[in-house]
Formats: sequence, structure tokens, C-alpha cells
Amino acid sequence: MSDSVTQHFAQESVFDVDVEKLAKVYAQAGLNSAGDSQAQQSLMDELNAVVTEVLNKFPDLEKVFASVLVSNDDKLGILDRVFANQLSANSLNFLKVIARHGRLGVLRQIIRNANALWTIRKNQVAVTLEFAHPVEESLQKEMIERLAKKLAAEPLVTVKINPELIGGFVVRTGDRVLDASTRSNLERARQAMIARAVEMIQQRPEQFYQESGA
Amino acid sequence: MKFNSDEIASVIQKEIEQFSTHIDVRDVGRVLEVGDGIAQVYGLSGVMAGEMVEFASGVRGLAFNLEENSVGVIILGDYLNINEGEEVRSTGTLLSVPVGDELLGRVVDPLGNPLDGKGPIVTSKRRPVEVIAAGVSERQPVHEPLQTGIKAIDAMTPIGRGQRELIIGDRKTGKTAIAIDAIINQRDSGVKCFYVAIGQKESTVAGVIERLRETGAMDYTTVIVAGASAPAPLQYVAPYSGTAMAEEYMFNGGHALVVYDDLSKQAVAYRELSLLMRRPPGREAFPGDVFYCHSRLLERSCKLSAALGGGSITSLPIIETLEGEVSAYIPTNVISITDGQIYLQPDLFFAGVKPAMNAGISVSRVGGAAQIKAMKKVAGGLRLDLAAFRELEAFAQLGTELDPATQARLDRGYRMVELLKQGQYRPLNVIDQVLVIFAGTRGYLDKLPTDRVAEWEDKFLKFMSDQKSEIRKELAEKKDLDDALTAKIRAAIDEFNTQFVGVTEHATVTV
Repeated sequence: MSDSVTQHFAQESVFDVDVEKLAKVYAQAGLNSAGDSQAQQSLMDELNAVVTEVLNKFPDLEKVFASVLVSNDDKLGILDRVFANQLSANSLNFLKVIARHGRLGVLRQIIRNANALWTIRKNQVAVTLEFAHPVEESLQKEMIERLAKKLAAEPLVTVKINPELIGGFVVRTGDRVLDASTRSNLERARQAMIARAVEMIQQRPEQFYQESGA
Repeated sequence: MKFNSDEIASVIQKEIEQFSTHIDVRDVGRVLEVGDGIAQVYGLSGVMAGEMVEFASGVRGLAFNLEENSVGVIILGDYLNINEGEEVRSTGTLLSVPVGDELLGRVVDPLGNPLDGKGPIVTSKRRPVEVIAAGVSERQPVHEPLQTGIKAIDAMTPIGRGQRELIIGDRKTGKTAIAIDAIINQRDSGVKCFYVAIGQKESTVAGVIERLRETGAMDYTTVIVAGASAPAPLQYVAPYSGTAMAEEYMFNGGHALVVYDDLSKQAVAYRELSLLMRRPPGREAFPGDVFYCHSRLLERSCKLSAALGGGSITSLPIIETLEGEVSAYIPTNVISITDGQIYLQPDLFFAGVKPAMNAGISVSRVGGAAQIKAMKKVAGGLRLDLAAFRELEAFAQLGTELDPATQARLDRGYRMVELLKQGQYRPLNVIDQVLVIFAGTRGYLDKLPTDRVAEWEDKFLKFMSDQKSEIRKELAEKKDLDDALTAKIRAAIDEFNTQFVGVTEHATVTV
């Protein structure tokens, strides 16, 4: 799942807050209309397949979807011809509603938001684990277990190796960052040393100067 | 001089010994776009309104707009170093500024960083820039006078400690001059002064600072500068910073005077920010909460109750009008917030009446409570008399025949106008003010040619301090006029008038 999310991101270069807001509305409506959780899962699988198998492979089709020169009726026709035999009625209906509202241009964003929403509904949470160098499998597993307990959700872990951290690790979940890296510790130590030295010099300047002749 | 590296090393060693590692937990977001002093940030879901955020480049900002998907941040610093995609972290603290005696005599920016090249400001005391004003039970009515040293103001629109008195007028009508005179006059009163310059030319501000320095007023004054070239966020924050610095004195039982020069420019900076943040524009394109922007600032000026030490902040906000239009949005707002206004009129200014105060529409809602008793007695009906005189004067210009009573009133009015004229940077002691206004309102100048009133005033004050110092002393002690003292003053004026007229006649004869 998280791999497909990454792929969505890979194709996008612009992040528009207004589009995000819009996409969230469609994503929520699509998921709610699907029915029980099994139906929602199959809707998500199909929608992700639309991105990976169709949009990524045929970028021209996405241009057609986004174009205002192609009428909504034509787009509906394209959807029928391309997806009628491939998708379930539920998924196709969802795409058609999007097309009728003239929002096929933001299909990718809608599916990405639907993925994010579906993750939350499944009580999962995307976590990025950053290490300075590869760590043992057992340690990684233990960390994931602890994170699961702390977050009270199933973590979907992406592991990254970033030598710039020097040592330690960084955990990212949504907007929250738990930073236990040597890099940030060193930076804090540096700031503390500067602040302390400046404070002492300001308080007792005479102690820190000596006559050049002495 | 050489730096002693051993000492530094020992400080650093101590710091390292005490350093403990811990996991740093922070909320982060990413910059979507940046420009014109503001940034849109995606993420930062836990940030609170007004919270400080820190960009990866070290620049600080203030969470200003909390939207569904993004956060609008106003950048307090150099926004040119911030890039798209940069990480932003919330700090969990509010914006604060250094406060205390170390700031007196200094020129600082709205974040409290020194601008005068006199080295760092060494103080560990800080106060939050935005606080909620003291409540009703924490206050008491204004009753102590804050002498501005300007005759027209102290007599007709007296200002009390804890009052907010608006100075309003067109450009170049002497608004700043009144505020500067008021600061200069606080030399012996123990009132600490804060001059907040917002959106002004740096050269103008440098001139003001120089003038304060020359008159010795910088010893008890802090100047907070967000000049015309400063980004809008700093201009917006400047008055709140100045008030925070003044509150340090108020909450410790002291007295402070804050001059906001001027709030119309702050409103314009706030409008700029709000429009960039896409907040809906209202009247004159100002955002709907521009009233709140000024009211929450000016409500912080107050007189605290005796239980809280009885400290006070007096504020003199300045508003610049366009073509005398006092019914524009910002002027009406600030007029309704403050406890009175001093209205400066261009035609009076050009006619040589300085300060160019229009007595008719200038008011002080605190009134006589902010005057010493002696002043209240001599200047009681002065404002209304002067306003009536202005009407009469306009009528007299029609060239109609006037009855003697009206003519006498006009003559008195001309002399009072002359008497209330005052040079810049020459604030007058309240005792001297009482003496000259006594002479004016009691008709002692009625026979004097109007062009000699200023000369009379100078010589009379010199006469009183040289030859009748006991009267001045008695008045300064009593601060009230009883019958005996009134008789003494009358006798002194009569004596001086004989001398003055005698000298004049003698001079005329010799010529």
C-alpha cells in the first residue's frame, strides 16, 4: 500500500492546497458510498490499479482527462470504453461521477487522499524510520512493536538510510517527528555551548579579556 | 585587549558536562510558498494560533492563519533565506521580547534586538508580546495627572496616568512634536517612555532619537523601530512589543508612557498581511478584525488597582488623517477606543497657532480628574470659551458692528490663543502653566497688544522665578489655589504689569 502511495507522489510535482481540499471531499464520498470494509478495500485496490496500470503507463490519457477541450460526455465515453470490462460497477460509477463534475484532472490526488483516508479507517499509520546505517532485523522489529503500542495503531513502516544522521534514528508519523539522532543532539549541544559562552561573556566581560601585553 | 581562551574553554567544558541527550519531539510542516513576509506551510497540524514556529534556516515566524490544510505564517526576519519545501517546526512558545531597565536609552527592533550599535542587551527577563489586558477588578479610575508640559493640552484636554489619548491630524501638523514634548517633560516624573515608530522614514526616526538624546530624554526612553523598509509583520508586531516592554514597569508599580507613531501605518501593515493571507477584505479593504487589532492593543494601557501596585501605562496613539477626514474607518475606530483625542488642524498650524489644537473637537474623557486642583480652577471653562471664541471670530469676520461685550470677549480670545502658543521642545512646568493661564483667564492681558503676549509670558515667568519664588514654591506645595494665594498671585501680576508697561513706555520714548 505505502509503495503505491509513494508512486502517486512520484508522479506529482505540484502541491495545491485547494485541490487537496477538493480531493479529500471526493475521496471521502467515494469510500463512504462503497459500503462495508471489504467493498472499500476492493474499491481502493481497483483505484490504485487505475493509477499504476493506466495513468502511469499512459500519461497522454491523463492529459485528456485534465483537458477542458474534451467535453465531459467524451470523457464519460472514454471511461466506458476503457474501464467497462475491467472495473467493478462501483468503481466505474465513482469515476463517472468525478467525470460528470469535471474533476477527472485531479483523479490522482483524489486517489491519494482516498488511500490516506482508508489507512486511517484501517487503524494504520504511515511511519518513516530513518537510520544512520542499516540496523539488525530484530532491533527494527522491536522498534516497530513499540511504535505500534505507542501509536495504538498498526504502523506501515518505510525504512530509510540517511548517513547524515551520524547515529541514532528519526521517526516520522504524519506531522510529528521524534528525533533521537546524533546530528540533532550535536546541534543542540553546539547551540547550548554558544548560548552559555555568550551569556557568561555578557555577564562578566572582564573575566574573558586580558591585556594584550600581559 | 586579547580574548582569554582558557576561560571560554572552561565554560564550554562545564556546558558539555551538564549536557544530556534526549529525544527531541516536534511537530513539523513544509513550506509550500513564501514571499512578501509570509509563508504557507503544509502540515504543522498541532500548531496553535499565535505560536512561534522556526524555519530550518533559523528564522522565526508566527502562526497567523490556521486553515483546513495549511498554516499561514508571518515571518519575523529575513524571508529571502527561506525556500520552498523547507522544514518548519513548532516551538510551543509565544513570541516574547526582552524587558527591563537594560532597554532604557536603547533603540531596538520589534523583537528586542539592538539597532543602535551599543552592544547586546543583557537581560534575562522577557515578556510575551501578546497578553490579555487587565480586567475590570484589576483597575482603578485614572486620577493622577501625566503632565505633557504643553499648556493647551494640560489646561484643556488633560491626560491622566493610565489614559489613552489619541493625537489625530493631517500630515505635517505637529503630531509627533506633541508626543516628543510629552516624553521630554517626563524627565523628573519617573515615568519611563517608549516611542514606537511604525512605518516611518528611518531618517525621521533618527531625527527624533537625536532630539531625545540632546534633551536628555533618552536616559528614560526606549525607541522601538519598525521603519518603512521593515517587512509588514514587524510593523504589525511593533506596538505590541512596545507595550510588553512598558508592562514590565506597570506590573511592578511603575509608570510608563507609550507613543505609537503611528497606528494608521500599523493598520496598513495589518491589511497587507491579511490580504496576502487571503482573509476577506472589508471597508477600505481592511480586514474585519482591524478594530480588534487596535482595541486589544490600547486596552492594555490602564491604571492598575492599588492592590496590584497602582502602576500605569499611558498611551498616546497617533493617527494620520487624509485631508482632515476624521470619519474614515481607522480614525473612527481609534477615536471610539481611546479616552479622548487631540485634533490638530492644518489651517491653525499654517496660521502660526502651534500646537495647532482645535479646542472645539478635542476632548479628554477623563477631564478634571487628571489635573491638579490649581489647574482645574484656572482652566475650568477655558476649552468652551476658546471654542466659543472660534465661532465668534468667524462671525466677526463678516465685518458687522460688535457690541462692547462681544468685542471684549474677542479680545480675550485673541490673547488666550497667543498665550497658548508654545515652541517645540519647550515643555513648561505645570506651576508656570497655572500662573500664565491664571493671568490670561482673569483678564490681566486684555490691554496688552497681541503681538507682545509671548514676550510678556517669558518675562513674567522669569520675574516669578527670580523675584517671587516663594509664590511658586507655595503653589508647588499646595497644588491648589486658596484665597490668600490667589491674592498674592494677583498682586505679583499687578506688580509685574507695572514694570512691564513702564519698560515698554520707556523704550518707546527713547526710540
